[in-house]
Amino acid sequence: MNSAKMLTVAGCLSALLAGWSTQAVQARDLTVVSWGGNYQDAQRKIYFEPFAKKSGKPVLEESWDGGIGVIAAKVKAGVPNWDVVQVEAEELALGCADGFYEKLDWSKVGGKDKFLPAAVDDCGVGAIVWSTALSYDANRLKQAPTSWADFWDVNKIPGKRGLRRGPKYALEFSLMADGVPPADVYKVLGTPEGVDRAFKKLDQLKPHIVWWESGAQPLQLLASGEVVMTAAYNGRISGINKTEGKNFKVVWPGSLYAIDSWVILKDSPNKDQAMDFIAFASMPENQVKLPEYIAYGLPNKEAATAVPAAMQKELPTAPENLSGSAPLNADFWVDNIEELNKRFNAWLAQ
Amino acid sequence: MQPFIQFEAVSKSFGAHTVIDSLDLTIQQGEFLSLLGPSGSGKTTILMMLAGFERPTRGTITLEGTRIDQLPPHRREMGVVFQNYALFPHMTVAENVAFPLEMKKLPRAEIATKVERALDMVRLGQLKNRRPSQLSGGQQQRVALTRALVFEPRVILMDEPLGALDKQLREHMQLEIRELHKRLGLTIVFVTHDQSEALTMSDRIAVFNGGRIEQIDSPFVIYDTPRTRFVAQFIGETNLIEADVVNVQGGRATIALSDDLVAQVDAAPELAKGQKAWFSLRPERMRLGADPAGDNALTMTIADCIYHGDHMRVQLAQGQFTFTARCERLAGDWKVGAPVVVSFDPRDCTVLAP
Amino acid sequence: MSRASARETLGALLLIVPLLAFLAVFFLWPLWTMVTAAVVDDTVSRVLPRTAAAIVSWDGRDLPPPQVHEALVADLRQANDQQALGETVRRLNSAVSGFRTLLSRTTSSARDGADPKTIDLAAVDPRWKDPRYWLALKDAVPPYTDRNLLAAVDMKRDADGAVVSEAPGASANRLIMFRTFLIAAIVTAACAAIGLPYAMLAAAVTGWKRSALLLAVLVPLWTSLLVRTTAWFVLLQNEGLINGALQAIGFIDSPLPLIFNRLGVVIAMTHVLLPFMVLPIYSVLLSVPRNLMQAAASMGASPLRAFWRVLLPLSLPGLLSGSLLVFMVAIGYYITPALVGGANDQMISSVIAFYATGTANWGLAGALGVILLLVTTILYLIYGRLSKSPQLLGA
Repeated sequence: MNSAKMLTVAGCLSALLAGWSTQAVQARDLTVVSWGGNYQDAQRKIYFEPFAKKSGKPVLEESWDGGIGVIAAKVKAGVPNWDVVQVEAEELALGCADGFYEKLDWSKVGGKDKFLPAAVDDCGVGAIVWSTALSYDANRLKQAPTSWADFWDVNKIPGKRGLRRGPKYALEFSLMADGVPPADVYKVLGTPEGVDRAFKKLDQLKPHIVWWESGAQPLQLLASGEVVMTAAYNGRISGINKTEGKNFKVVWPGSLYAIDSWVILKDSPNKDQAMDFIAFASMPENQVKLPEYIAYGLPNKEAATAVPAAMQKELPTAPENLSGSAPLNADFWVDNIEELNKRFNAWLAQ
Repeated sequence: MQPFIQFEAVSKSFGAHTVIDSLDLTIQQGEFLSLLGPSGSGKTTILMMLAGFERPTRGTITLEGTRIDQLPPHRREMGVVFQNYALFPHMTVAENVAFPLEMKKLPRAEIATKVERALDMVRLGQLKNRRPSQLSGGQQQRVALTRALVFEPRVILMDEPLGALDKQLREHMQLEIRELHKRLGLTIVFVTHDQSEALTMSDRIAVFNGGRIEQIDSPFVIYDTPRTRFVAQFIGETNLIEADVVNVQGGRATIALSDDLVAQVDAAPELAKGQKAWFSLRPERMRLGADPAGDNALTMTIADCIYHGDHMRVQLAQGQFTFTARCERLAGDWKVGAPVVVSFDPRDCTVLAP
Repeated sequence: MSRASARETLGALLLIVPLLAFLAVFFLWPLWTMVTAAVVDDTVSRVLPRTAAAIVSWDGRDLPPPQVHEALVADLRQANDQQALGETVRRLNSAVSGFRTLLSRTTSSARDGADPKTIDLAAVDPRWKDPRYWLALKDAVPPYTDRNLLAAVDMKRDADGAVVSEAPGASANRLIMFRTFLIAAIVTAACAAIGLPYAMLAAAVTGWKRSALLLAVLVPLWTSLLVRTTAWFVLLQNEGLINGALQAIGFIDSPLPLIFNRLGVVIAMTHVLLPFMVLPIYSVLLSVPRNLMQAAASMGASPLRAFWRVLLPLSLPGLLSGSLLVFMVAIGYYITPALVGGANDQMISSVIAFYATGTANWGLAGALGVILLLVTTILYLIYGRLSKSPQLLGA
């Protein structure tokens, strides 16, 4: 009798809970996830708020630090609580292959030919082009470095250097310092000898490296004089020059650029609205406002040409900046990140 | 003879608040001195200054002629028994008792025998491996006492050590401490607010009030001839009446207790005619009966009669004036409202200047 | 009577149902998920059943017979659950780098080809001529595996199935795990060295002084990680306040390396974790009667000996539980070491995070978690033994 009653109560409770949770899912507004910081502040002004106004529905936003595991966990939970996410190239490739994203309706964003070829994918639309490049404080450094070889030359320019902790970027830059042309870096890195060569070159600089992890750190390191030069994200550099009056310079030759894309998580309950949002954020008249806030290149060709010339030269997409740089090879890292990260950790520990 | 312990003009203030004001006190070797008084009267502060936990603001304290008031507590060789016993909870009974001996750096073997002997003396030998938390209150008290005695300190200081025990155990421990005191010839300074405890145990009692000693004397003197109104009131029960001195003649005085009640008392020489004075008479010193006896015989009315088991308490009245008398339960068949003659000896009366 | 008591028992059980449910949902279930993630390895046999059945008979030498090739092509043609296939790919790529691109290329060829029998895998991608990829497939067939657990401690099975250490320089999990415990131990010791006197001071003073002391130790807990890290940066960097002050008074000539090394990590972590040490000791000390120290002094104990024999042993339970708390929390740190540490201060949690969020390799993340849990449990048992022994100091 008693246990029967208990079961009834439990049943009612779980029914209530279930009802409440589906209710919550249905009621959830479009949730857009990006990288946070002043980049997301800019996105809020030019994308999120205008879109919310236009559609008449609120746009929720969150920020994240990347990682395919995060996406996998969201999608495997059934109904994801994120809809639109800005992802890096590797996450785009991995997640698209593993079915974590909805296939996009390219007709809504105006067709594939409106975008840089590298920004077009079945699962994602390119949102920005950004670079990781050598940068330094021109007010502190008399002799300007011009290449990764200079970065490695501690006699020419003494002092510590900042590099991102992890094999990605460190190995590529190391090979460039060792004389490999940017265009051939992944060909060399694709062989075991190439990896050995990169680590060997990295060995030379090891005692002089300060490793950073978050994008804000290299700026801090440069500003305080803790390092004389560092690898850094180009958007952050021009940002701090503008806001804090710094004179940080970016060395474009030898930089690696990558494209971040908008994706829609599989089984998103706001799929249509999500697609509308991506279309809105890809319109040239909206995209062109971005470089005012942060120096990222625009994948929409029409938007890219509409950027005023003064801002153009700070963007990774400017022809003179593109000439000496290479695109980050997402496929290479998708295949090799685990093994190389393991080896990188072991190398660090030596 | 040189006093064993001497306080000279000792004052103690906490900030602006003076707790002890220019106090003199001597303590003899082998004496059991009780410091008695209401809370806040300064008695514990005296003990703390003696132990070294407080320093006098002014004045000196000497022990056998040597100044000790600037000495840190661990160099004073005084055994202290605290109200909450202050046993070390992480040590066994034996370890607690051994602690002061270890501090003296005695050889291990000697410590063991001393601890054994001391614990046997207070019948705690069986419990030596227990922790304090596994003992009853009385047992803890005995451990604390043993611990304070075992290293043969020059003085034993006790701060209301029996306050936490129930009545029966308390009385038992009073006897036990008295017994130890006699047997070992200890010098004990004992702080209490319980007058019966002080009367039972002490050689002398110092009655404290407001940071001063009101009277310091043997229990007999304190009880029978209190020298101040405070002492008369604080120690035992008394009938305390503000009266007028009517006449003084040859060591005898006539006192008007009320408009129509007059008593003859043995009077101190400084008493003068026409003066106001405090008349004190213990309830048990009154006799009730039909016939007048002795120099004082007042006729009063029985207002109430309260049964107390071993005795009766009789409320007497005459107009506005009242007395409380104590008498044997079978001394008479008292009826409320009946007249009675109250007699008392002039020698039992105390008259105190206001 | 018995019915009434039965009802009472049931009532009592009902009362703890929420607790049990809580434990199950937030403790046992995640633990179970972690353990199963570490050892269950059934994705290949689920998604590629024919290949799994066919490859078992292959002895592992040269290349597998043609029926295995055919089975693989047939499996890939029919694998329609893209997410499940993705999991398989991740699993295989983690065994041999490059499997991902290999399989995606092979899958599209298998689907385009009309007849599976006509597809020559070696022509689709020459890597199929390398037995490593086939061996990885064969390895992934059994439903349970110890490869994650072995990899977590830098070991693997060689071609003959014997357990061997990874080549030196290939992996550093063991070292990083050891380093994690070492850093946690140093931080615990630093917290104890600062926290014990601090707690004693806080317990000894009263009123606003006590509140101020306790507040000061709690503030870092309420400060955001980034603010705290920035503060440390401002203080400890080469041109920071401490180095600046030391140089200004002529104490040092060149700046001391205070940040981006082990010292920086220990300082920053000690700062955050101090309350976990101070509060237990403080609360233990509050329950110690103040006159115990007076009693000790009256029996001839100098302040130092009284501290050593009375106060320290009495604060030991607080010290022990504080140490346990600090140690356990410290083991899980990784952002602080990443931000203020140097090359050799990365802790195991960052490796776990790399696999869990970075590459979705939940098997290896789970295995690292299991190993970490195991070592921690052993340490906890030792701690339990220690804290039960009646006296650690004196006697």
